[in-house]
Amino acid sequence: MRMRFWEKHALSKKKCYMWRLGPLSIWIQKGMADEWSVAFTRNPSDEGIAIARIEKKPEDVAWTRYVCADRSSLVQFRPALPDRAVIVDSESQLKIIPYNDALFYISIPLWLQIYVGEDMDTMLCEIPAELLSNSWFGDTTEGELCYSLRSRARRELTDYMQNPHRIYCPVRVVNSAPTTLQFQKLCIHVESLRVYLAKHLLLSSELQITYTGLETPGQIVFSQDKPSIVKESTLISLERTPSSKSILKKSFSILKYFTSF
Amino acid sequence: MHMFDFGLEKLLQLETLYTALKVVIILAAGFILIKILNFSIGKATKKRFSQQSSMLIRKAIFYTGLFMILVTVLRQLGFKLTALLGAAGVAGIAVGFASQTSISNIISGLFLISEKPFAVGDVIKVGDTTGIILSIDLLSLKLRTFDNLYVRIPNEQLIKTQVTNITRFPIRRLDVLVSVAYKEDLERVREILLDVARKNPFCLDNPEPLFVIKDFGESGINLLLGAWFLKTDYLSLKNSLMLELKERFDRERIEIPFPHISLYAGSQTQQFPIGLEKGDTNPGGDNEHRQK
Repeated sequence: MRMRFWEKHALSKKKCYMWRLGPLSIWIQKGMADEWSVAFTRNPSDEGIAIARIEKKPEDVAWTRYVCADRSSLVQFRPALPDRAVIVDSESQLKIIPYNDALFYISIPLWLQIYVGEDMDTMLCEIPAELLSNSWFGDTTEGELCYSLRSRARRELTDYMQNPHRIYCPVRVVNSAPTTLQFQKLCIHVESLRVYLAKHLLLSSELQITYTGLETPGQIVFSQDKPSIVKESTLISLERTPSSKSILKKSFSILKYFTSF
Repeated sequence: MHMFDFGLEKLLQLETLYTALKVVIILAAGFILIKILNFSIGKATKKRFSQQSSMLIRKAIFYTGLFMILVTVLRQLGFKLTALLGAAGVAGIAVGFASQTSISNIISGLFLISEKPFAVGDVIKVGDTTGIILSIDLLSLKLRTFDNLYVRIPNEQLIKTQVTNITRFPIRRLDVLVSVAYKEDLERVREILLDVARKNPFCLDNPEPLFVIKDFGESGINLLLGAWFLKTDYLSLKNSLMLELKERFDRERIEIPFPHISLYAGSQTQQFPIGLEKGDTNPGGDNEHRQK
């Protein structure tokens, strides 16, 4: 069921289709030859998945019309990570003792991208599955606008499998310093991460953060490979910021990751 | 003799025509050259300098070019520039005395440009006027207010008065003053206020929202909720936060007090009794409060 959600769907003209992915409900109608209509709502109490269910066109939602030269009636959803960095705030204090490492899974609400066209190369729009609060990384005179996310920073992946609208980011934190690392807040540049589909789970590429002490800059490694925590996975979305451009940014961000708030 | 006169006249006419043609060519070529130079300099300085500095450089080039064209044209027309400049010097002193305010504005403008307290596009507040800076010139600053008025403020005034640059920093804090009744549990009110701020998508989680018990007012306890936001989200945050606070207070049955007066019937401790009579179900009607 979850795999089918991300496959291509051929729509009949002038019929209204509904999909649901966790709290997000989406209606799509292929109207005239070159026109698409899209509407969505968010209801935090909704969960589960609904795929291409034909429904009467709801009138109480805000519709947006898109004109697209490609007259094909194929539609496909792609999961993407948020368009800005995410500040992950751990719900409970977590400490990593010297010369130890730990793997955490950060669950990030996805952005649903709607692609149409014969070659699936035209993006109509993208809709965040959940609205995240804004946050600021830096001081009051300069910094970076991010999203804020509360996380339990779980150690087991099975705990999460209930949420189809979330992408799980494996973060390995290595404490190479002789002092205890207190993990409180973490700024993850999710724009540099890829998304993989593994059976019924969405995973991002892995991230390794090495802490070498307060005096020395740490190291961030954005993996370009498939996630090693699952046997099989398929690349479903590329990173928003191309790797070549992000190298400098990543290097520059190293200090930021461990800056205390 | 007559023939000679006719020839001379013709020659003079030709010479005048030639001079006129030269003047026209100098004017046309000069203007085109200035425009091209201005455009190129504008493009070159766009990335390296601020919008305001780029505008000033272009203006300086334009007026210098204009002066050079004028001098060249005057020379072509046969004016003696030495005498003209001498006369201009004398006239300059006279004009200088007469235009002290303008000179003061120019000097103030130079100070403002070097100090850079604001730039084109910033939102500033000068006295009671708040608006977006359209241009910073040598004599004055031009603003567009939010109700679309064009305001010109002399530079001299800007140097003398307090100017607030609202958009200088990327984030700002919105202070919402809330008053609650004395009977309310302040700890609970604090939790509710911070929760509303935390759940608002425009309110930044970091820096964290601020809660301050301001003072004990006449009708209730005055509180302050300081919510940080991105400078572009001012209206979105203000409207949504106020709506959410009102809705939440109504839901949680937290009373927002309004000014009221207690009446005493001679005694210092006993309040003057006021109540509704039986059957009076219209609290907003004429018989709302009847004294017993």
